[in-house]
Amino acid sequence: MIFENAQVPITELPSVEEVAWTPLSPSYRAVEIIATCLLFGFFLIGWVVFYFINPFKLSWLPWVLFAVWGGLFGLALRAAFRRYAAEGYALRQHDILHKHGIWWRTVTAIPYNRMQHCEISRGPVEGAFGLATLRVFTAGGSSSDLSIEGLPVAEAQRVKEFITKRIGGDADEAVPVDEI
Amino acid sequence: MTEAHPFSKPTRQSSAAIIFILGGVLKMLLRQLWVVILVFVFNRKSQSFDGYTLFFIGLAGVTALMSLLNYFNLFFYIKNGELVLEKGVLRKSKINVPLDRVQTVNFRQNILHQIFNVVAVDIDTAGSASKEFSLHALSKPQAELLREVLGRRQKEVRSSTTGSAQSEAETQHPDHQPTTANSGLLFKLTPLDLLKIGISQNHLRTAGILLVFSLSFADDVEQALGLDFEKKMQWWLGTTSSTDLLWMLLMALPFFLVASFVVTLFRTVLQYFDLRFWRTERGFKIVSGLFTRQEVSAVLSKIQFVQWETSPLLRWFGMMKVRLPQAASVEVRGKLMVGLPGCYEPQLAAVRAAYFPEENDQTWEEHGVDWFLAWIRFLKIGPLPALLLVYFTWSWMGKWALLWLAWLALAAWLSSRYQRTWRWEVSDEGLRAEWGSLNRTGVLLQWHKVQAVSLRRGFFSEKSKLARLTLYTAAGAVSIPFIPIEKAQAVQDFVLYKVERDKREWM
Repeated sequence: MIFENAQVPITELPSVEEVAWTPLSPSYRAVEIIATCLLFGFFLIGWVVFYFINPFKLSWLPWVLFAVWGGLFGLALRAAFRRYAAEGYALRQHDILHKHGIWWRTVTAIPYNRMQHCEISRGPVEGAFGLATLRVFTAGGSSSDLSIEGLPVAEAQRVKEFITKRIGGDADEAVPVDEI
Repeated sequence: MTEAHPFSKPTRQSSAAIIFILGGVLKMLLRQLWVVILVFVFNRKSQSFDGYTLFFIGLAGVTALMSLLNYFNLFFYIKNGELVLEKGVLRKSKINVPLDRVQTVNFRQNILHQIFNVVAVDIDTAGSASKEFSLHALSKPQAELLREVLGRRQKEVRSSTTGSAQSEAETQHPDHQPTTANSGLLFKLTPLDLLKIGISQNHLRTAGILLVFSLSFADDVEQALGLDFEKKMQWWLGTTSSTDLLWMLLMALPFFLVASFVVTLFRTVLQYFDLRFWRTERGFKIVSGLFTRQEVSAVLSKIQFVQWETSPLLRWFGMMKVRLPQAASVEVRGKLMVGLPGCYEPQLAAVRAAYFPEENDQTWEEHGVDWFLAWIRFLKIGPLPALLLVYFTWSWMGKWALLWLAWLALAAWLSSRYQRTWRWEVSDEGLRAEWGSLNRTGVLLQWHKVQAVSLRRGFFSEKSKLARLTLYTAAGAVSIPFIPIEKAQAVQDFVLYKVERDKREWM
């Protein structure tokens, strides 16, 4: 037979939901927590300045603000932990999947045959922790591009190589998924 | 590969381009300096030949010189499979665009172009970097030839990279334009159609633009000439009270609305006069405009989806707007939007049949969206605007301000209607959807045009097991909100399966 077009039962399609997600590097959680602490450290400096100037001459106001600061700091730290747990990616034979977000939990899938290119970038903080960001570009514009932060450098490079091979060639002939 | 075309050597634009470059520089200067010039013209103390005049003459001289240098230093040519543009006097620049990145070649012709029998050429290149390529003026035959050569060379480059065979007839007879059975004029806007379109445009938007424009203009002129418009107006109206002035302004509102109506109508005529919609060998072409004849074309394979929109007025006229979003870099997407401001059912049917020939042979499975959407929408458009209106009008309307709460009922009706009429249908090959409470939007999309699929669950829809499914294409996304998570996952899996198996080019 030259052309096969057998009907595929919907229930037998590979399901995104059943995929085994690869978590990000645990150091990424540390980076997130440090970033959160730094941000709230700056706010604390602001608070100290406010405390000494006390522009509104209200003795209780700085302490209310301090309580707000503490509450927000706690929430942000919790969010940093949960963000790490919520994020992950998965390479399948024909596409890459990425999930992220705690309020809005998004799962994005990009088939290899629709990718334009992919690249690795490293910021200074990421670099210090041996992490890298993998970006995958499609013709769909920035809203559909994928960016996976917090991958160990070696892993990011392997994934990039794997994807680059898939972009160029036929998925069936390229490296099997479990080889990477 | 043959290089037998005039563009293998560096080519200049038509000499008429000098005028357009000059015009461009002049426009830029006027935009920057019009306040100065206004002051200069109105507040001049003496009529003598002074330093200012010298300054302006000098400026004009420099402008002319710059334009000439610009013109003589701009070359374009095709070399090694790339379109090259060299320009610049002091800062030289060279833009190389691989021919297979050339998306579309569009012509523009305003009244000046028509007088000199030239066209401006805009070449869109795909790619994230904004490498836009435009030429001020080429003679019509030269422009046609450039488009022809680009198309032909593009095919050569593509076939040499993909290794597919090229038909002899295509390469040997570039001038011969084969016409397919379905090519030809599809639609021509009659003056009555134009009037209908003009009436159904968004007049409130024009009113907004007019208001902002006139206010900022008044402000600029006030500052430049040292006038006080409010005082002048009060004196002119013979009243001194500010409240009376407010009432005057309120009464002027209807006139203002009429003015915006006329302006919109005028703009519509300017833009869409004698619009002709063609089916061409490769896709569609639209030519329109009163003074500036604009020609845009959409290559069928680059059209990512078909979108149509109606407003209550348009529906009453039996018309719809049609858009053909094409694959293009984000920067030029807006400019390249090929669309009909108004047409009838047969034209839409023709577009749909060209984009998705099998549409009517498919079995379509219809779905709706969850009622939760109605709630969310009501919360968005209902309570807050109503409360704000009551709050701001309380001081002068008193108890009557509570009448604004009737908005809540209207918002509830609109939201529920929005949810009830949200329809999406899937088939083996594609998606069609239609939504909107008063203005309705419809979309027809083939699965193989999809670039990425995403599924989003929000904290609201978490408990109710709902998700938003978004299908990204190279020309924008189509999103289906508030559908059961299992359904969304099934569609996501199915679309990925289709996209990954389909070997058809998406552009």
